[in-house]
Amino acid sequence: MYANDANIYSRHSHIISVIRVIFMSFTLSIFLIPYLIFLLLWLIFSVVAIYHMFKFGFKNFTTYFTTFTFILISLIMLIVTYGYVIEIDWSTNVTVFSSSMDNQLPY
Amino acid sequence: MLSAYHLPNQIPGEKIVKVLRRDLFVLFFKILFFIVLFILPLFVLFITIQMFPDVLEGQVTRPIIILLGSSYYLFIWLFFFFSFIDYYLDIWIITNERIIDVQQKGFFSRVIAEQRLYRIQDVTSEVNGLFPTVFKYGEIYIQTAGAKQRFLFDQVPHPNRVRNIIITLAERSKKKQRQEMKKVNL
Repeated sequence: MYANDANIYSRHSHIISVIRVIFMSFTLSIFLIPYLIFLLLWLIFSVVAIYHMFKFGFKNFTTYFTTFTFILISLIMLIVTYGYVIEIDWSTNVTVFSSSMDNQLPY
Repeated sequence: MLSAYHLPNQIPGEKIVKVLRRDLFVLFFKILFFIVLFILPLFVLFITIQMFPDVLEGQVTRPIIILLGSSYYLFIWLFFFFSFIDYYLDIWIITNERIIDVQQKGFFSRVIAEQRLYRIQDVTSEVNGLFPTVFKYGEIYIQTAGAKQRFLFDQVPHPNRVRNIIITLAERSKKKQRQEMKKVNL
């Protein structure tokens, strides 16, 4: 039985090593995918919020001022984030769970 | 968009007497809650830096911290704006002809109920708890003969004063209604 298992392992060892490589190393840009999905959802909800404010709010200074403040601070946050994000080399290859790392964190 | 000069289904000669929202203390409490949410990750980051001084320089940790931080603050800011909208769009309008209850129940759900003043049967104000007593806000229950029998003005400032205004306006409206009925009968 054990000999049979060893035989299967040797036959599929190439596939296993490929899977290992895929899971062990990746580029930093992979972190941008969930962030961009979050940004898209955030943008949709922001538009909905602004729409509600203008559709159902009073036509007065408070409505315009609060909506403008929301947009302004959101833009500032996005610009600051962009400033930090462009400094990072997202093509950097990161290797995790490798034996060569001697159980050190990859930072 | 609502306007102080153009009410929905405005009755001829109708004038706004008072526009009520929840007390400012309720808004202040929300702001305080978001200030805590704003400070909390900075505190966590400070402790993390004390434990791992290189965490902000790491090849992986730096991008993760930037993206997580950005997501967190964008979310908090949007959540705060939602919370403000919930406060700002819940209004009670008292006019010389009727009371209008406008409630924003989450997004895409808005309930507008109105009742003519002469239909009001009973007005009760209630101030319960430490903060409502100190900051003078509370509930007003309005019993009417309409389909929506009980109107609730929730956490409004000076509930006793508002109750008196509603009672006075309701009495005037009833008197006016009786006079109109007499004219019709004659």
